[in-house]
Amino acid sequence: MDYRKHHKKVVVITGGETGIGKEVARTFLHQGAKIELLGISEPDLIDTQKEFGTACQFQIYDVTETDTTKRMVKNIVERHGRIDVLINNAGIHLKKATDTMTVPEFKKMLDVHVTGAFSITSEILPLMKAKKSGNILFMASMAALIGLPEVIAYAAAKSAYLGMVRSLATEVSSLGIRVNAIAPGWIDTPLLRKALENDRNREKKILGRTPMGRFGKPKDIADAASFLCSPEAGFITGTILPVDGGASIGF
Amino acid sequence: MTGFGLLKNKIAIVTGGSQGLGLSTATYLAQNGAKIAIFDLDDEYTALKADELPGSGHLGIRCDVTDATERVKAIQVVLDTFGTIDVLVNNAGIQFHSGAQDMPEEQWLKVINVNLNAVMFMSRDVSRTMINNGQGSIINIGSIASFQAMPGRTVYTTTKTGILGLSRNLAIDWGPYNIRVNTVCPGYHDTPLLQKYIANGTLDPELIKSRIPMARMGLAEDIGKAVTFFASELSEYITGQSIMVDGGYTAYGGAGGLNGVED
Repeated sequence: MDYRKHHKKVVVITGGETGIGKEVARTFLHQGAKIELLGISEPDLIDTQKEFGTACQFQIYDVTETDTTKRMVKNIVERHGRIDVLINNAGIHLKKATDTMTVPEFKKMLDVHVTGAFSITSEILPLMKAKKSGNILFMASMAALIGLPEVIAYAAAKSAYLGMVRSLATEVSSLGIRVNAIAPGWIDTPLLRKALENDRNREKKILGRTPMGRFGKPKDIADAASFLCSPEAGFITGTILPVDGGASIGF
Repeated sequence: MTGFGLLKNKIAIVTGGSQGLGLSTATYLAQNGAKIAIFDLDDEYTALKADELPGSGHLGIRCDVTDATERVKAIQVVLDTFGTIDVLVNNAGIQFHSGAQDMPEEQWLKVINVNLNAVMFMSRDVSRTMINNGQGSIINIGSIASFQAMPGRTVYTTTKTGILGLSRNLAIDWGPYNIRVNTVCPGYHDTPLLQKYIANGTLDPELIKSRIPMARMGLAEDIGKAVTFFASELSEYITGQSIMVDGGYTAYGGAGGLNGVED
């Protein structure tokens, strides 16, 4: 459905070349936004840009290389003159028993999610402050809401987003900048399919404790993201919205 | 603001929908194409308010949601008129302010009856239609009191906290039927009731604004917008959840300052 509710908005999405990030980009695009994709996979970025057309541009940008953040943001400003929405979506996953996980592995997880999102957010914030409007959205996870085994680093990183959202929301909301998070549950992406391909039993177990009895679609996350960053959510800030078919409410 | 047609041809019941946030919610749902049945206590006023909603053919029905007979009768009128029910907004609610040590038992029970029992049984009575349809969305109205306590609000806080557990359990019971149950939690919104509290000195608007990160009261329509999101297909994978529509009030834990939030 095309509501043009993000008409001419400049939307920056990290990790926007595949999976959930790509679907978020597609939805904002259909609603009139100009998209800046940030990612590390050049072939995927090129393919996605071709698919989406000229309203979508991209930069190769690794969120852990924070000394390039300033340059990256400057490029966006030169291209569009403004940034309206930032979606901190880039992420990686690591499932590994805690006593086999190394410190570099743990640190990498925090670097990508926590320090990476901080770096972009702090660089873009002055632009939003100057125009007294903007939306910053963090892609958290149900791993920040319920305990899941063998994801200690991922859970730490995604839980950090909850604190970052609340703190930043109280700091900048009076300046017209809203800050929120989405906590996706089990979403049907190539990554999930890969994780489940040799384990039918696990799929059954997961769906057995998801009240809606099915996996979510990337579009479910995109619709929630679009809502939270639109004027329809004009008084919503500092919140964490799970989109998980009820998986986090427990049974 | 005009709607986006998100609820075209959907049938929605809004309890307590003839004034305040309930009326604003009914209005926004109607703007999005829904046919509305307002359930409220005053039959003439309720009918009048239903007539004034955008679009035509809406219903205003006298219904005390705590009364089993009236509930069944009113729901039947909706079914006879529209044929189905897609959305239920359990908005009707009351408050009673008292120090807990002086709480009259009668008032305690009355508030629990309206804010909690009626929500359960309105949902139950409507669920039969929704289960038959294999779809539906129920939106309960919580509060910042669903998460934070306030002096003199024991019973209100108890019911609004209870709403969260009720919503979660209804979500689990009815997830298999594709009925979603979520809670929208308003903060301080500019409504006639809030204006009354400000006028009679119960609320100090400057003090409240000083601990709202957005540094202002919400608009009444902010709630209708969030309810519309949860009523629509845009939230088709969201159930058992609550969302604060409070300008950041519950995200903030500092002391507040008259020039805005401080630590």
